[in-house]
Amino acid sequence: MKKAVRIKISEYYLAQKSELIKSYGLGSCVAVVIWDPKKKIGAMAHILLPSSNNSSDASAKYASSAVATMLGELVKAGANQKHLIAKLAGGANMFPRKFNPYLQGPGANIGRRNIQAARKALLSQKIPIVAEDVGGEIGRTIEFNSETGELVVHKSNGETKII
Amino acid sequence: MSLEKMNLDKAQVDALKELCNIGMGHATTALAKLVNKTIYFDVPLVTKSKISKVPELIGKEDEIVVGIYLRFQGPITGNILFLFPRESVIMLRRVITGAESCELIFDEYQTSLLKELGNILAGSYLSVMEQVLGMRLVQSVPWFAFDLASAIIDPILIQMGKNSDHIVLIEAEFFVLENKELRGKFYLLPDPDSVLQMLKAIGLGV
Repeated sequence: MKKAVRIKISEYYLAQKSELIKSYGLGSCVAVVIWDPKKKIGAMAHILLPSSNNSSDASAKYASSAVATMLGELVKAGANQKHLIAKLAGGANMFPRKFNPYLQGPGANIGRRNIQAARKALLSQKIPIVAEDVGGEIGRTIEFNSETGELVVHKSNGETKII
Repeated sequence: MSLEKMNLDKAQVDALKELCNIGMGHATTALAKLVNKTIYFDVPLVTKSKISKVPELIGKEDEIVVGIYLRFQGPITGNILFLFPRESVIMLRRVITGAESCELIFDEYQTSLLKELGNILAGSYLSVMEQVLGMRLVQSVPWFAFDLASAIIDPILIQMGKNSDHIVLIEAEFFVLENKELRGKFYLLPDPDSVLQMLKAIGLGV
């Protein structure tokens, strides 16, 4: 297994066989993984916003364009669109009002909107979401293995989950 | 002119630094009264950065910190974030309340204490900005988070990223000299369009 490739906000990476993709400190951002289990290639994007209201050079900044771009790259790399599956992580509410739920912090819905936009983008491309670890009030560091399709989610409270 | 295409020149960077210097002077004086210790701060840094690079500028990828966040509004809008390492939170509580405990507990009392601290610091900083820029600014209530620094700043970057891929980060670290365990970081992140308005207000507009 090679060293993990690290992606930042608004970036995506296409992993060939036996590669790891890692993204640190997802808060309200959402990460989308698309994987071909037969070809064992996959891609991961670290998405900032649901959709664009201006032009931007960062192709994985928005959920809709990130999914479309990754799909195009995967098919070009030999993936079969019919076999593709997706996984999601992130989309937390980082400033919850623990002691006054009626007063929600800024961005209380930002995470949720990112999750919904990612789901919608995947649905419109007919890519089924097979696993998710989304929402809540906690940061996540994630690692995707293109060989096994596993997405390891390290939560900031020390919990680790494989989806 | 948008922030996207412009580079800050030396005079503009210096002006933003000086503004931060005066603001930090006031904020640390307020903090000093509260903890009854002299508070020092480092020379402010002003960085224009791609949004994707901000998380690595503000903290280690695996360090869990306390974040106090406020938004301000007026003729200009933006965000103020304080990040405290966990040991500093314990030290702060000790000097403010006299509590001996080394345990990190975030119940209503503890989070209120930290939020109020953020409130006071942000308030004194913003009052300087109001005077220098000649505008009235209103601050939001403070919000609290205990998490990875990059995860805490995420919702702020999302908000700022709607209209820009670049932001200006103004930062300064403050600390108690005899006990470096008591330290924190101040971040001012004006919304991208507001950076230009700030420069205009101090006569360095483009």
